Amino acid sequence: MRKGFSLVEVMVAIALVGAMFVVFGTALVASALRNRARYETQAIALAEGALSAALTPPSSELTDRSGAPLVGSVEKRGDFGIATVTGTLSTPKAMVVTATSTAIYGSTSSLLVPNGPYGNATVSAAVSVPSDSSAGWRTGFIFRARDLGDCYRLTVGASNLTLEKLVGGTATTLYTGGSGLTAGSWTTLAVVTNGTTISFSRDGVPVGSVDDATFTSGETALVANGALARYDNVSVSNGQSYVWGFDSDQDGELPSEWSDVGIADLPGGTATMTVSHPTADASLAEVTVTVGWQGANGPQSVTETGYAG
Amino acid sequence: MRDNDIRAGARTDERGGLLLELVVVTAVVGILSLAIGEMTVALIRFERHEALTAETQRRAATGIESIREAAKGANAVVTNQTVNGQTYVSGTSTVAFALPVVNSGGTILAGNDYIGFRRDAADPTLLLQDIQAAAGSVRRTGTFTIASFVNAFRLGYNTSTPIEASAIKVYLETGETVGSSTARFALSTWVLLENK
Repeated sequence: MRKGFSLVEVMVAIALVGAMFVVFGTALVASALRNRARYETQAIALAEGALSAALTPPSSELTDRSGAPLVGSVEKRGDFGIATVTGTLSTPKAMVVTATSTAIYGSTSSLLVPNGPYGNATVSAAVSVPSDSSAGWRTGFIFRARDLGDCYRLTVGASNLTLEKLVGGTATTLYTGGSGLTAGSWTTLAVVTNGTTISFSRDGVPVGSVDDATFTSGETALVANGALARYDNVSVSNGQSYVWGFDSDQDGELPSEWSDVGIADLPGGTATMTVSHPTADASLAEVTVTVGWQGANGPQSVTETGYAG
Repeated sequence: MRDNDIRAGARTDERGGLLLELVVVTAVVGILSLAIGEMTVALIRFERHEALTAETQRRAATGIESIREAAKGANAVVTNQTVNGQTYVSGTSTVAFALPVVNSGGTILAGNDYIGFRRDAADPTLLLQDIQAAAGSVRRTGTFTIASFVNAFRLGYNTSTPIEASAIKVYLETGETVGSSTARFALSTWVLLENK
């Protein structure tokens, strides 16, 4: 009786197993390449966009810097979605931060409010953080913002309410006081901007008013630091009235008009900007934006360079 | 002696298999066939999903690039402008640009070309580009589809009034469902009006 396998049988078996490896290996490699193309396409769009936004302000404001945060646009940071939250002011849903990013100028998440920029306007938002939030959290919104480092910021934390002005990322406190917010509770912050006058209130009770002419118009964005913050009943009125209660929106998604793509949507996404003045002409600034992400085979990046002046 | 040989041969030269062996072989072949079939189906589905994903990405990228090219060459965002028979009011869902007229020799002519972007009213999944070219322009007047399967198309500006904008923000999301596969892809970018 013949025992074992013939050489032909062994070769056929090896060929079959090899063919399976080739087929599945090819599929996996193709998938990896498509993922890379996906992230690269998004990164290029973000880098080109960041460069365009950086070239928008007067070139005199483009002072030398290296590896600095982006300027000229309010970038989406962290991740957001609609979720059913117990105790929201308008039940049952709210906008929630589902993931935070590395802090930039004291904000670990930010999401642009639609239909901006706004000049004179009334902005209002109910805010909250989960009861198990880590110490040091703050939540609220920025307004008249050019970017995360150039704006006014109204936030509430565990111990007080604060209105700040950020210029080039440096914060100046315009007001601080009042009582803090208990994590798990809700409070409504509101601000009215009229020319250089900024009036702000909490739960409908006026808190204070300051006069500042640094920013007269800009974007509004929901921001938080160190917490998976929640927002409800966001409204803006500037002649037109916009109100978002989020209650009929789909869980886990962003409402269509709030949808955005940001650096944080890339795996391990980072974005930095470098400004230099490479020639004797001090008005000619070279701006380089680098967007990086973590690819399957290690760190990847795209770089865009432009000139202002 | 002969009878013994016959009996011994019946034991040692037995050909074919027992019924049990046949059942086991049939079961093994059946299981292997099922496994290979399932793997092949899964592979085909995977490849279809990957192809759908790639196509969805291409559509969004093509649409964004068309808008970028127009905006970069524009000298202004315009509103209440008729472009190839369509009236454009620049806002969050439509935008129109005025661009310098350039002839085939690269010479800049007087007047403006106009390019507008809108979703097709009859089929909002189509993103359309209207071009109204001035006489002598290298551009072609017409309406062109620049993206299909559009889920969302939104515009923003760096000023409160669109016509004063020196940069626009474009958000474009495409998506398609084929069978059990769904692919979505979104791009967001700012574009500077370099001729403004």
